[in-house]
Amino acid sequence: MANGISQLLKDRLGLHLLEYEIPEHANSVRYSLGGMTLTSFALLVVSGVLLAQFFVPDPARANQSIHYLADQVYLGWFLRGVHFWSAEALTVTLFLHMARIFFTASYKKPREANWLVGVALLVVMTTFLFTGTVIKWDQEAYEALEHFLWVAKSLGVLGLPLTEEFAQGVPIISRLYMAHISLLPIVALPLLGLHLYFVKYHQLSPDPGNPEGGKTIPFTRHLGYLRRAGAGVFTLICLLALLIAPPLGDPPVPGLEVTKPPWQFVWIYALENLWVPTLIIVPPILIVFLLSVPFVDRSEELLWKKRPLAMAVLAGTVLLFAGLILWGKFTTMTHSM
Amino acid sequence: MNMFKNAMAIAIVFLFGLAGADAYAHGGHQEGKEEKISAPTEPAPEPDIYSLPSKDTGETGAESGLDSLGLTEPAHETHMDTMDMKGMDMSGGTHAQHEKPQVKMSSHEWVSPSRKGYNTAVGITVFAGLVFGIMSLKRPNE
Repeated sequence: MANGISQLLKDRLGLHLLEYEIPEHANSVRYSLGGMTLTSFALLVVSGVLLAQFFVPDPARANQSIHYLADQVYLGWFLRGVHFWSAEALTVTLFLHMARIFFTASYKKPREANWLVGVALLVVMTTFLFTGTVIKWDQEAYEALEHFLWVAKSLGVLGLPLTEEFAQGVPIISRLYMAHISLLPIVALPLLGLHLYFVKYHQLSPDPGNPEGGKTIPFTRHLGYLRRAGAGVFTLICLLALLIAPPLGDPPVPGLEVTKPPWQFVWIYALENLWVPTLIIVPPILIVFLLSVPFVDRSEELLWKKRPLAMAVLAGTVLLFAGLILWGKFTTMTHSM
Repeated sequence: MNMFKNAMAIAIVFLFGLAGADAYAHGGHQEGKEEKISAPTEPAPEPDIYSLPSKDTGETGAESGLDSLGLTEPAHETHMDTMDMKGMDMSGGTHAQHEKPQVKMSSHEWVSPSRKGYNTAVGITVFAGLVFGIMSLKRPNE
């Protein structure tokens, strides 16, 4: 009977089209990090839709609505925890996915376009993270927004759409909430689709240790592996949500600067401590650096042992960010906006 | 590739360690705490945030008690700033003559089992773990 149902679905839904061959190394953690990132994103979307039922995007009530959700709504605290830890998991798996792509030189010809789409997705996910941090409207959120508005105003006419002056009388938290639940998903979903399309079109990047390819497996087996990986990610997220409450302070006190950003942004906080204009200068430099990778490294070599400069850049970047994050976490602030 | 696996494991531990060590966790549900958080209700009558400043009345966001981000300006601080501006160093120093508004910093806390729906959340987590465990043992469609 199971076979009959399976055949019925295949005939009607075209599922047999998923049975094409892919390299066997697809079923490994390092080649499933993108899938884990996608799982985390799906959890964010589902939990986000549920959270939106309770959130009030008004400065006078935003923080209170989240406190109410966390303290009074049945499983509200857990839902918020799932959303928060899904974002944390997405950050980790996204970073590891990027590092793996760089390590295995999967950005090289003919996959340059997919790398560029990936960088665009990185920017979109970072923006998701920032807007999500701000809309909870506690002291940390307020100070993050102050820094953001300082950058926007420093950009002059380019930054005008991001400032309060662009839509006077409309609370900026409402606009950021709109971006978080509408604009960014509208941008992210086509990019995700394009990213997956390019993976299908160019086929999975080869294992540098075996560039001519070895055994193959049907894609449906890889889907089975991804389902298991996704279940593992979901279990981990639930466990973290069950144990550790995401941060949420009280409504902000204007004029104070006493908090630090989340760890994902604390590296730039550390740079800002050295020299404030790094807030404006460093992010574009970073994006240009990432976009240029497939066009600067045009050799055909894939094996990491034969790419010492690329490995040095990867290790240096990871160490630099880790160092800045740790420094930002433990250093004290020496300026105010 | 072993080097990459080891680096990945270290990176996961490092990144999740940072994520869990964020200092300003929610205060959490405290047992015996009587104060109930009420649902966000309509705020008390206050200047309409959608109204633009009127040229006739000269009303501005600041005068109406709301700054540009929709926050209520602490009135006493504004008053003291006006009084203290002359001859005082305003470069971030403390104002000794009045109390600075305090920001309550919560320390990191574990989720209390007295949270609403805690047992259900445990059930969801255990179920997810069981599903993952069975999938790891059986490896369906792999």
